[in-house]
Amino acid sequence: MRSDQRIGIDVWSGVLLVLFGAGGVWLALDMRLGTAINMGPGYFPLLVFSCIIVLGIIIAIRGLKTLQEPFGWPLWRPIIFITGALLVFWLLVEPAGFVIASSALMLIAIKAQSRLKWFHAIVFTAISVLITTLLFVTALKLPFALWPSFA
Amino acid sequence: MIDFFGDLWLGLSVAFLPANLLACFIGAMLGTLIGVLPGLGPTATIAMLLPITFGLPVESSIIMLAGIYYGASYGGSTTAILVNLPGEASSVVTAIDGYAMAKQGQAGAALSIAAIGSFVAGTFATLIVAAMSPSLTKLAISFGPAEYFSMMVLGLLMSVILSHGSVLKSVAMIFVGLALGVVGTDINTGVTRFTFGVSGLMDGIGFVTVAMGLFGVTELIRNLEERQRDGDVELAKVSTLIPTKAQLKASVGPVCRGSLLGSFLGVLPGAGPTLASFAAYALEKKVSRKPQMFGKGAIAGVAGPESANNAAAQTSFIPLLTLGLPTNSVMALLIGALIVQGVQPGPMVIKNQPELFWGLIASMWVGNLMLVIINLPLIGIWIRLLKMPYHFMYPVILLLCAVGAFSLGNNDVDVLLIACFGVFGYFLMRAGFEPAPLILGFVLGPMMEENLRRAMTMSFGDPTTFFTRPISLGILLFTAAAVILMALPSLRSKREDVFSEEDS
Repeated sequence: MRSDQRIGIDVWSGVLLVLFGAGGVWLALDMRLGTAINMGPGYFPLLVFSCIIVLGIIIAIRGLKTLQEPFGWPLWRPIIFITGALLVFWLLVEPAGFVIASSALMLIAIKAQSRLKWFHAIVFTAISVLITTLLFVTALKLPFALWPSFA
Repeated sequence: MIDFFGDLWLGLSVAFLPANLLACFIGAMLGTLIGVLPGLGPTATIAMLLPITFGLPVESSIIMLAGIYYGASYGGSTTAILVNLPGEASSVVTAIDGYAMAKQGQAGAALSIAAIGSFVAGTFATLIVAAMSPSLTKLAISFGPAEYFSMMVLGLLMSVILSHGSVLKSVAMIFVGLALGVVGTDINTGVTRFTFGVSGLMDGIGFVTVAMGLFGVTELIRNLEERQRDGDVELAKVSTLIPTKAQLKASVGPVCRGSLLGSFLGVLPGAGPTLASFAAYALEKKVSRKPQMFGKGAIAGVAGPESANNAAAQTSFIPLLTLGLPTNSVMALLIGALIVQGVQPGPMVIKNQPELFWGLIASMWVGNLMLVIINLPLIGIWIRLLKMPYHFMYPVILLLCAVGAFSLGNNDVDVLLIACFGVFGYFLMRAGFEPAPLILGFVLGPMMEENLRRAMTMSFGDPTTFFTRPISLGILLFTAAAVILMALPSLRSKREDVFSEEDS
């Protein structure tokens, strides 16, 4: 392994932890800290986030001392499509209702892989949405609006 | 003694009501259905199926959850044995020898032994829970905030000892979990903390949301990526379910040892099923006359850990029921479900709602029984499900996650949050951080803060209160002993030894 790969995943994780902790401390300092006898809302968070900073520093330093494999970037397609599907569901479920939101989620999710052709994807989506609608909205009476309300 | 059987009888009479049996059955079916899917363990399964229990009366809903839980763990073991993909840490060791057996055409025997061993261990552990809980409840009433706080410290540190990989990273995960637990309205002062003005965060981040994201969505992403790289998984064949006489005989010892070991370890906060299964595997390997067989399809390597993790799963109800402390993520989900139903778990449940208390214990046993007599013979269906192409399954799982998240509190922010936690979990995994300590820290965080505040107020700001109260001191000494034991070089190498099994 080449020596320029010393800045490995642990170092970056440590740095991120420090940033996370620092952000938390900064926000916690805005709140009343109180004393040990009568702790304010900021006391416990300050404690926790300070510990995160310390741990982040230790992890980063130990990461510098050990040789590490370089970080391999993930395949982006699954991440983007899966989170995208959830995002679209989140955006659509209130205004457009359950049927449209869940169909959109299914179609986007299916496209996280390239296995299904559009026609099959649509048929499969239709069947799945029908079953989940019957199960969750009709049978279990979960409070979803089925269709967009044009009122 | 009469009390003991009277109480158990009360529980069984609740669990055996036809409606409750049906709830348990449906739960076991659905639990297996989801749990058998590769990578989805009990935590993700329960999180996803939780919403369907909300409409039921409290006893039925808890009994259905018991069914889901057993179905999910059995489904997880099935996947571990047949395709070598354990859904959760507690079935990691099962996969070692279970999959080796499956490759030799012994998958059916391994599955049966796993189910039967679990049942025997579950029965034994149920009796332990029933025998110990009432007296422990009395002890629990003498617990003050200092004791609770020390107990949670013990639980968190135990979860570190258990997680494989870097101890330092696990400790960091605990603190990140504690930090996430702080989000929401501070109950003492009414100040909102870290909500960034989002009204959906005022009540804090829901535990189920975190679990669904970190265990469900993360797993989907990881699975898809792996399949894109390596193609689909291979499935072992199941011929006969019935184990041979020799296999049964070879399992008696491991099942008994596993039950005892698991029952004991399950009581410890933070330890639970995972530690139990690893410890049982190590124990079986040690006492075995043919240790070289382990990893190559030793039946004891399936029987011991499966019994132990089930016994531990059962006895981890003891801290939940007596102290109201969840010691692992499954217990945390059950607490969540109980609270939704208006029950606050803790020492008062046994006195105020004996039907619920004993019904819960009995239903765990009934769920276990249901598994052996109904679910096991249906193995053919589950295998067919495993054969179903993943590209049909994962979009439906994702939809279930979205629906589940939304219906938890009819809060659409939760859908966004599971997406965030899914991606977060993916990167944690890639960076070698484990989600389990984070989850436990997240669950215990608010309780820890509350008890820390109260303990410090009661002691007028004197932090030595944790060392001067005898029970608290005892717990902390025990914690220190556990940490020192772990740090000892000889044991440390052994721990790495046990955890490295899965790679071999």
